[in-house]
Amino acid sequence: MGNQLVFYLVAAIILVAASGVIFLKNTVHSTFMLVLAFLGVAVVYLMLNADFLAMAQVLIYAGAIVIMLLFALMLTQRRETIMLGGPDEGRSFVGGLVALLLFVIYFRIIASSPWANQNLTQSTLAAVVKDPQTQAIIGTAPIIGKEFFGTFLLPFEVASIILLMALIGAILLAKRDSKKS
Amino acid sequence: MSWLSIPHLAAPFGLSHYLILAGALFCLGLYGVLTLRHAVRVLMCLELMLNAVNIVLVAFNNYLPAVTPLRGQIFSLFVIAVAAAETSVALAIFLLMYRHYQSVDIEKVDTLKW
Repeated sequence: MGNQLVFYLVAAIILVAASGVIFLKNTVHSTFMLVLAFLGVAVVYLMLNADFLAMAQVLIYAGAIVIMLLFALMLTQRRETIMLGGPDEGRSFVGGLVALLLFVIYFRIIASSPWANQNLTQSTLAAVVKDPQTQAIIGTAPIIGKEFFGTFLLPFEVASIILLMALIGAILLAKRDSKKS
Repeated sequence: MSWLSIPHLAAPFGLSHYLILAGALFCLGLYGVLTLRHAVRVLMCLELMLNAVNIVLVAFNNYLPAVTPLRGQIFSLFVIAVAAAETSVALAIFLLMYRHYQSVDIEKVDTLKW
């Protein structure tokens, strides 16, 4: 019951913060609403027994990615770009219609799925580690680490190459042409 | 209006609640991507959509029995890694855009528009 209450509270916070990201006039304010939404998603991860992922969410999303977005904002700041906030009137009708229709379809799919009305309370961590006390102590990090260096070793290395490529690509793109200046 | 009926909300608290939350977040992000004009805000809404997908992955991972434990969580960690890479490249592209057009209004970047 308490779990349910927390869920509704966090869901309301996430959705209000996400609306703030879209509808606030000032872009810097909407970035801070984005932090709130990311932290809410981290709480949802905690409720779903994903402790390592919740910490990664706080560090990477609410920390690193938001800082990068703020850098992008500050480096491209001008009076007219600050005033650019909020949805464009010409497109808000069609955009809203598309988003609403997609949500209705999604809602119907979930409602008509076979597992929507089942009482699923199985936790995968509980399936691996039987003792609840050990469960609380070890969390999900050791299992994720073993998987990363076992089954998912190749995707893990590919992800590191992607990050390296992004690093080099970003530097190449943003660097001023030294011959011109 | 039978297609609007909400039978599962009577269902016990669980998987479908998380899925509805993720769907609402995804559609809000989609609305932002379709309507906003500031390029950085479009990127923010894209991140919201990625977060919604991650919630779905983690929710299914928690509630449905898996062959490999925590496969959904590992997949969403990869999503986070790719999102970080994408944001850094997008930042560089916005800087270039600002240098070239003196603006980050996506309406002004219309060279390829016909």
